[in-house]
Amino acid sequence: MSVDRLTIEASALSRRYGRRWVVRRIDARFEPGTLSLFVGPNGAGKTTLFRLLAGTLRATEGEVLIREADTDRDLEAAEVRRYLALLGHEPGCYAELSGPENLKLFAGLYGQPDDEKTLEQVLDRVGLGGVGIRPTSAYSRGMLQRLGLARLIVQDARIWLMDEPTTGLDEAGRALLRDVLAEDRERGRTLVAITHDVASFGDGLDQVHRLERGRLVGGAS
Amino acid sequence: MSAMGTIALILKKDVLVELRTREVVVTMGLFALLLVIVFAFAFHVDMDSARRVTPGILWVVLLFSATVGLSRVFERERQGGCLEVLLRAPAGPQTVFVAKVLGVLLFTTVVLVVTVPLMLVFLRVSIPTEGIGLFITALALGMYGFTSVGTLVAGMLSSSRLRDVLLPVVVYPLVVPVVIGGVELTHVALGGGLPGEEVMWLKLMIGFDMLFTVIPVWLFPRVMVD
Repeated sequence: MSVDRLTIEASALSRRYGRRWVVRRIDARFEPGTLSLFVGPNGAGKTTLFRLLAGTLRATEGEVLIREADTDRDLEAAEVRRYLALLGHEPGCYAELSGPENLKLFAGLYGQPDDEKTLEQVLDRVGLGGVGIRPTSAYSRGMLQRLGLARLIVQDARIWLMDEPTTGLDEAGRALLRDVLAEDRERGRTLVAITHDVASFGDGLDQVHRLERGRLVGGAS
Repeated sequence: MSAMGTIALILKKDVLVELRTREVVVTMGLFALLLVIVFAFAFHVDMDSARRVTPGILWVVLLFSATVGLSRVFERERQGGCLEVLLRAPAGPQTVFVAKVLGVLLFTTVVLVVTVPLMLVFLRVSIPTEGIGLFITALALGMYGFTSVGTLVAGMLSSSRLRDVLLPVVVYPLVVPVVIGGVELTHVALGGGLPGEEVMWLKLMIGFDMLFTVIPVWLFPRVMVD
């Protein structure tokens, strides 16, 4: 079954390590066709929140619901894997493989077109056209981040969760990220990023949540 | 992408990466060879003693070198955050688990094909023709059981800072039944043991392997979430 418009909702989401609450009672809802940011200083709990939303970390309390926007139907685990894409701190690429080989692998895993022409177009889109066959171990941090972005595009998921997606990007790279996000927001994707660098995202933001010591402060702006 | 297609893709990727780096097979192979040489010099006294110590030596070599391989295969996935991406593939974490088990088994088999004959030569032990089938069965059942348990534990420890230390500490006690079964079956295959003894050890190993096919497949998705 194909779904198009998805919402992601955090309800009283909390995580504790030992006796310390790292994320405490986060309530937020993200709609399709929007770009939302969580911003906050180092140690505010941003990455923990990212992992909770991504489902790679268990919540101590609360839950994350991923639903079809039009029918309010909760997605099953397999659908969540298919329609939710992650760009974490690390780019998620094999150092021994080239950029095109990495993309081909992930396109295959996600059941997306993996022909050379399609992948070359995606690489062109993120400014990595003509990178050739050199392994990604020879890539700069910014190039790896662009490749991670290419992986998101290839995956063609409906929700993108990104943790510090501007890491390593130069000004051209940040402009590219803004363009890609603006374009995909128009396509109805639900975009959520966690960052300490709100300025890099420009003006096209729908929600900005401030996170301090694991709690949301001041409501969405 | 179907589960079989996903397994094939991950396996193909593992083989491609290994062909480029050769770090898993070469590391495992050299380590196994070193152990074989040390044991051959330490324990070979005469033909009779060699026949008695060979099963134990074989399984220690096998266990230690496979642990090295297991550790490297998961380290590769962990680097660059690849494991997290793989686990989110639509075919599901169980599929990733099966692919990793097959990958480790493949690399271990390559190492065994080279080191086992060398070990037999160094220890001057020959396998009777009628024992060859049992010998190969023991190796296959033992390696499968170890790899299945090891892959589950390696995955579980992949986010732990002490993963390299904890892997053998956690895995070895769990695989004791299959290792004992393997040692005894090898002993029978080399011409020792009592008539019909192999049936009991075969049942033990097959039972263990069946149990540790079901349990890790069920547990793997659960232990991969922190």
